[in-house]
Amino acid sequence: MAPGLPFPDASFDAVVANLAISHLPDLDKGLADMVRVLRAGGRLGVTAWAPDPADPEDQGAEADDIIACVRSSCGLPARAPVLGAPWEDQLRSRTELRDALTRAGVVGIDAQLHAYRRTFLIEDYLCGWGGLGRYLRWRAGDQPWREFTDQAAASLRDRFGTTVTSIKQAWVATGLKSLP
Amino acid sequence: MDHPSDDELEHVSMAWRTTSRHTRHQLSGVRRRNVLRTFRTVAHPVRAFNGALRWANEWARWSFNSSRRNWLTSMQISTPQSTDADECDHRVMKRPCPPVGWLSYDSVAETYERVAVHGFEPMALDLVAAVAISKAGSVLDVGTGTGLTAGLASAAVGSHGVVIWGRSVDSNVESCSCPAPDYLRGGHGPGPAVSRRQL
Repeated sequence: MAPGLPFPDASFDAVVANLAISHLPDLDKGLADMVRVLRAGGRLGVTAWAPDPADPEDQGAEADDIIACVRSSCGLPARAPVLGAPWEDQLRSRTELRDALTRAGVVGIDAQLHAYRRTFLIEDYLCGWGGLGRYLRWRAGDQPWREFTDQAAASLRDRFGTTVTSIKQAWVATGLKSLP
Repeated sequence: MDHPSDDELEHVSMAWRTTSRHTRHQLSGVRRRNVLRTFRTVAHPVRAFNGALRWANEWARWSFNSSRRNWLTSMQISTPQSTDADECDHRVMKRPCPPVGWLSYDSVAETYERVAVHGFEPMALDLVAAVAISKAGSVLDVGTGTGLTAGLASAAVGSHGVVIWGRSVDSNVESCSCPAPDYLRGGHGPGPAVSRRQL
């Protein structure tokens, strides 16, 4: 994505990037380019995944453990060889996120933690749109992928019924481009 | 039969990477799983094979590292053009691999749009609220994807103040709109026109 937003310097009053900066090939250059197109005093707003909450209603962690067991039993790898969102883990830290924004020239940074609760149908929880899911489907092929998801769905239904409730946290961070 | 351990799978994976792409393609799907099972059934329980197995693993490790070194060397003097993401190692390369196939959301666009996008709406609302854009302001939505955040921002500033920018990593096509596209004008939500082939 970066570098090279196709806009002149100081073009916008605000720049937003929702769950996008963790995908940047070069985080610092990408953020600096977003700041470049901001007017002085303009506001940059970004979101990034935060650490998972210790919430007893969150079934996501247990569901993921069950899926990992099934994945192993199907002989599928536990991780993708390349990260689709290379900065995702680093940006879970509020300090890292603030530091990255500071390096880009953002001041007055405010990073708030928000929790988001979602309830998925079992089939949707296993539909594989995330990075590892996309890799496994591509690597294993349709038939093994189907066998894996069928087995995982059966295991999840045994444990949770028809739905899985997942609670994720994210940083919503804003800051200003400093005045010259 | 017990499931293969992570170490066993890692060893197989290393050996796997050293095979030719053609062979890997032929040994796809169920046949690949059979290879994994055969590997464990034959090689692991029989102690007599352990020496050969260790040798094979060492060879696979050396061969893989060697080929990766060669590949990285070639990367330093030419534009990255690998089409096999398995051969990429982000930690070693210090830069991301060229995006191919599964790395892009394009490969799951229909599913992503159906399952994931509406779940991100509360986060997008929080972001737009946090940025507190003035009515007459202009907003750039970077990595706009399905246009979810741009659509919500247009409600805050008016559709003519919103610019979206995204890029499909598969097609290397940039999408840019200035002013906002038709689907954002007149209060309509984001539609499929920009949803499938962007970041």
